[in-house]
Amino acid sequence: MIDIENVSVTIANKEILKPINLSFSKTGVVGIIGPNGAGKTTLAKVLCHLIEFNGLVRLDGKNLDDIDATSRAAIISYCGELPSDIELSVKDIISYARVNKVEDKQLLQDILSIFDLEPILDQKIYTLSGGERQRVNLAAAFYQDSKVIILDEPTNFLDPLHIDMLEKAILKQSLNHLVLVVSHHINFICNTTGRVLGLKNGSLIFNEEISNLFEDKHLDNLFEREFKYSQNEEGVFVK
Amino acid sequence: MRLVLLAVVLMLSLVSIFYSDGTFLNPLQLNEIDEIIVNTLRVPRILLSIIIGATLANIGWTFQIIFRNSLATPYTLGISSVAAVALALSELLFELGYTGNKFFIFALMLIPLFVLLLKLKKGNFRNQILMFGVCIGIFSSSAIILIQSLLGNESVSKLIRWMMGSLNIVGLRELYFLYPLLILTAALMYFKRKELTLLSISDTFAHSRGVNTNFVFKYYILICSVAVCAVVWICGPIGFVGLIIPHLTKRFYGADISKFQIHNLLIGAIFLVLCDFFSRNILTEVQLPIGAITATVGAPLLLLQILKSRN
Repeated sequence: MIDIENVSVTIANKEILKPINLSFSKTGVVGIIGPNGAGKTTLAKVLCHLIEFNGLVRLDGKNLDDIDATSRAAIISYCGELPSDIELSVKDIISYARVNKVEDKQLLQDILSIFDLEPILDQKIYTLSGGERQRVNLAAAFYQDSKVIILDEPTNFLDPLHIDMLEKAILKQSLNHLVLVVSHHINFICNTTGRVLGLKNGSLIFNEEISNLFEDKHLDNLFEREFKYSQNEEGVFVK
Repeated sequence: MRLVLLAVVLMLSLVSIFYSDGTFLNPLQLNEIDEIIVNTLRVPRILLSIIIGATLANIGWTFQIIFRNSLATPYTLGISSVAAVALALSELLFELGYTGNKFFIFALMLIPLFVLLLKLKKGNFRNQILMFGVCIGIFSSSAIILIQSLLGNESVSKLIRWMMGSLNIVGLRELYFLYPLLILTAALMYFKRKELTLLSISDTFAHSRGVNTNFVFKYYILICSVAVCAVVWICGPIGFVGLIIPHLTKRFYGADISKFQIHNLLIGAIFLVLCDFFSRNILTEVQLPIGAITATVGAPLLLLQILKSRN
């Protein structure tokens, strides 16, 4: 689905992302973790051409540089932060999320109930709390329904209940979509993703299945501190 | 709703055309002088108010969205200041015995402005443009003061009069080029209205929905600038319409520009026709400058809106 060859990013003479090679399959969930300033968001933004880069990115076999903006939007979308000064209502945002695609009432209904948006549909964005705004943002990202969804820090501002709901939504979406999750929330990454990329100082440190992550103490190396691991039938927990 | 607003524009226009010194002229029984007044002064003036009010309101809202700044106005880029300098320069040349074509000087000064504008890089685009407009404004006001100190009294008062804005035109000659141009720019702005709404949400949101944000920025800045140049050249900088009308439209109808762009245009037209009516009829002997009227009516309205939204 996505192939990255020798991709690097330099901003103001500083190499934010060092040459990197990667590939992603059509479905599943991949986590991207790393300390602050590691280049996680930069990598995510490269994939949907939000910033200029050197090297080659191929989406569905086509060079990202040659894909026009509308076709790109059908393949990949980036969900960052929703500004707090928007004067549109929740309903407006959701209706603009899908752009050129036909409305899918069933999907819309599912998403509105997952993110608990029905009670606030008519409210303006600037009147919402941070968590409510983030739920609108995520709902818009899921409703766009592009083949690849990149979620940058999706757990920001969310309460534990809605984090659980987000986990379920991501797992359901990953059955026929590729979901990339950039997050500092390590337990969230452990519970939702199959594979994890570790970035540090702009380089790819590891690219491992979740199960291999703990045996080689990858996290300890990445964040330069000791983690405690525990595992039960509900999943893996890190402290 | 749009039809109601259109009807209001038409009704106000008719009242404004035929009301004179406390009485209405009978459109069917005009004497010769009244006929000349209506045909060569009133009708062109009202037609001008309609198109200028609509254009300024439309550009104001567009700029407020693309600069993500609710204080942006059609003059944020500094085009009106450049026009004022061009006018001052041409007056100076005239006094020195040369015939400087005002329009030529204005066009000449706009070229570096546009080159600089289109060279601005994406990233910090908004702040750069706001700084750019502020710098042009400061530079121009100093340049005007310098030129003024060399000018004779008559030219200075002409310049000051121009800077207040005016809707005085005689005959339809200017409207023949203004109407097609401004209708074309409005149509081009209407054409990409959905992209503009997406941009009003956020750049990344718009980008993820397939909007070429860099192109849309430049598209709007270029079209709006052409329209502002035309407006400023005919009427001078009529302030406040571009600032206050978008805020009123958002309050009355909603913040989605792709749904309410036409409403905004019509409210702009109504506002300017109304202000023009006041400027001609408050005092019977003198015509008050339209820029002063729009500001004195607009400022309290805006203040009221701010106080209301606080509550």
